[in-house]
Amino acid sequence: MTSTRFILIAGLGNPGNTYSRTRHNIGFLVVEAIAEKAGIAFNKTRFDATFTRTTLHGQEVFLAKPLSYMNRSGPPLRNLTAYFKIPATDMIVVHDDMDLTFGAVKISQNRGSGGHNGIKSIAETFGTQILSGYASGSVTLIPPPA
Amino acid sequence: MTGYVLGSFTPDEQSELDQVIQDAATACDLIVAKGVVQAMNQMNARR
Repeated sequence: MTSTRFILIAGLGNPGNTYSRTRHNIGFLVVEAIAEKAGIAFNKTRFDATFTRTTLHGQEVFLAKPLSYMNRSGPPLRNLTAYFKIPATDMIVVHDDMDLTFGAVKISQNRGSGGHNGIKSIAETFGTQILSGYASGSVTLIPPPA
Repeated sequence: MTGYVLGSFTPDEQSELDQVIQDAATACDLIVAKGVVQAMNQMNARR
């Protein structure tokens, strides 16, 4: 018997309308766009995260948004990955990056938090496992203010 | 700095935002389809 492999694409952000169109919420906006393109909605809420499931290129994928506020992003993702038996190495994290120019999209692996509180929380929650091999999609934006 | 990341997009950024979101979604799609190394080679060379 073979078990299904899942990939988790986690978009980071802060919950609520106040933050919905802010730079820090780019992760939410990206996973929402992926869901919209797939014609699905975030229809499940559990573990302090809202999530949904789809198939991309024949691969089973969960899309998730932690609802715990940015600096506590790690625990909901740890609980989701534990429940659905998703290895941390099969998690893609989408987040803003102060080191990039606005509009740039970069995929990185084995990186530190770069001062990003969401990534810091994930690294603290998952431990060195996450820093040594996660399939991170590090996204976008935000040059520091002049 | 906190105020900056929690701030709204400028009008210039807003005009680019849809494309940025689309590019990031493409990056995720590439990772799923081709794996992270190939996705990095393809995506990070773009800009």
